[in-house]
Amino acid sequence: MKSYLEAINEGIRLEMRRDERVCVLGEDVGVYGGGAGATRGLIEEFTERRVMDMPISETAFTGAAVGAAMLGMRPIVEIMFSDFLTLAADPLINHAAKMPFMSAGQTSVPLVVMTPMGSGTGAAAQHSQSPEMMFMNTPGIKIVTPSNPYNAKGLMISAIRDEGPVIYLEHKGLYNMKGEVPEGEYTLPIGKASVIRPGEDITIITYSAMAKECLAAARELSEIRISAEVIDLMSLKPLDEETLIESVKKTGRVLIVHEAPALGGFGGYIAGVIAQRAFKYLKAPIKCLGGENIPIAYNAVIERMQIPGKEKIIKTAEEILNEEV
Amino acid sequence: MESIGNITAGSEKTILRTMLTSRAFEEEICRLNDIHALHGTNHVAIGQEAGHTGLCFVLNEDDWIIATHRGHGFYLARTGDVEGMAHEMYGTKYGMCKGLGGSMHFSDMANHYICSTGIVGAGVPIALGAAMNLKYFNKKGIVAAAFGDGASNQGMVFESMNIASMRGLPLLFYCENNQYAVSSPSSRFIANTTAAKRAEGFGIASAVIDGNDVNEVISACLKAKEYILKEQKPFYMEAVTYRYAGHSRSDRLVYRTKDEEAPWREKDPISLYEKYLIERGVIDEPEAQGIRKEAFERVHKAYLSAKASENEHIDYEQAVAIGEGTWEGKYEKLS
Repeated sequence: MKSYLEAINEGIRLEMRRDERVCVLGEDVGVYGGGAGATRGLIEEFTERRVMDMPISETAFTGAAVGAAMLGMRPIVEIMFSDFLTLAADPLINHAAKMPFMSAGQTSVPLVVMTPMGSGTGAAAQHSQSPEMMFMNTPGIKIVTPSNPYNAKGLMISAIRDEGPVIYLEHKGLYNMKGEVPEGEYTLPIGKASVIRPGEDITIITYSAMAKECLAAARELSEIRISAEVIDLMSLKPLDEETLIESVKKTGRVLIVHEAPALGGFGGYIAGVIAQRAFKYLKAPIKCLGGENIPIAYNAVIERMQIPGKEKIIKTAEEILNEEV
Repeated sequence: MESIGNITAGSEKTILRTMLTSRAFEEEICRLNDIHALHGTNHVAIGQEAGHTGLCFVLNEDDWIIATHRGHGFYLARTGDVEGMAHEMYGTKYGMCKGLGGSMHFSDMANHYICSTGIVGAGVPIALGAAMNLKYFNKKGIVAAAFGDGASNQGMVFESMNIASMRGLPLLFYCENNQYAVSSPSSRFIANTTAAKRAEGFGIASAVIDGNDVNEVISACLKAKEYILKEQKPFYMEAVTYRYAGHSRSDRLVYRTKDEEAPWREKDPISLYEKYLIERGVIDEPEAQGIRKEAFERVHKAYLSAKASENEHIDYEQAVAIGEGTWEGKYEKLS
């Protein structure tokens, strides 16, 4: 058994052993081991040459990682909190994402940006956001959202080996989650979702930390004879539409759950895909559960209330089951 | 103009030819802009030829460069690819970026021209990373980051200066002070100092040079390169020059006077250099005319070829595949 945080660390370590081009850079990634501990022990094994502590200059060091990647390195940039991605937005959006296209494929940007997202730690509005939608509308960037130790390691290795820039959104609420993590290298395909619980009556589509909540909700729903199929997207971009559509054809009912605000959230896009591709299979209107359309609060009660949880997921699933089109 | 050692007469003619080709290429852009023959905007560096020609003359095959939205001249001086540029301006599939990049986004990785970037100042952190790469793999060479006086006010440039100094990276900060960031004069928008003096604050050695004197540019860049390689430290160069044309094709130049422009035209980098070569007997007036004509003809031939292929754009499916990262074809050059 390993924790989610240990799994991330192991994924990086194995790739650094395998491929000399892989390096890590960011704030306090060296002796300190990274803000959350994801790079702990790497500097001891790989030295300062490959584990580079950077000053608080996200724009410059993320831009530097883009340049280094274009010339043949495979850098992993750690952004200490995903909220700080705003400071790295130009190198990511205008350079990492566009350079391969603008140069007509003369260059690729094999870069991983790993960063902790999400609420639940009392870090308040500037250290708790779910930033995925800020980058979803930028062609050229892939986004993965590991939800457990097993996929945290596999997706990290896949992200490092990918030729394009990948934003690896780890959820800080999951760092201590324990799970089975196979020894050695393994990859998980980027762009492939996983049915993490099969079911017949309703499809619950989710990602990141909400996968845990949705699984807990599905278990309780089974006690009242509702069979929920839970799909963990794992990759937001590319999106595995086939797995979703296949499930919707079977169940005809859909609930989409994520922590980011519903307004402008991924749920809206997924609902659109389903409406366009599987409308005639729908037995009830699609529902999306997202965070409240406000910044994340400091107060623990408000913070918990503004994010979908198990009870709300159960209640909404029941509503969908009681509706007809 | 002071002469510099070790430069052959052949090289001197090449330098003149490069400057003249750059001038001819961009004068033709202006003409094409006037008749609305080109799609989209562009930014010419007429008057700044000594800056890009001199710097690129000093860079060899181990070195890399990244330049700006005003990058035609850097690209030409680095790669010599006039045809690729003309086609890119017309957006044809024979452009060096197959017409997907356009004037602001030239790139030729094989010739170590990393890219031009349209985000002012943003090429500097990319160059920082390229320099990190050289150091990481213990490769020879330096990286030149060309940017303007306007870009010198970007936070990411200061951040990059700090990191380059702190990590001892082989990076030449090459600031072309052409006096204007669109309409904002550098004399007013760089507070209390010059761009180069700011380098001192980061522990980076610097020099301010006459960016219209190609000999001075070359000798200063040679010294800077030697310093960077020997000391394993970055260097900051400010080349003072003047942008003859407006910022882009829509600029009406309402923020400055003809009187201000006149003295700069007196010290036109190409006229100065021609005069210098003639005075030293490297070329005579007929030969100068010949080089001028040759540059002009080369440029026109390239534009004619591009104009003739105007409608030969990249296949839509190929463009999408490149964007989605699924294209595995080879770079197609006009034979």
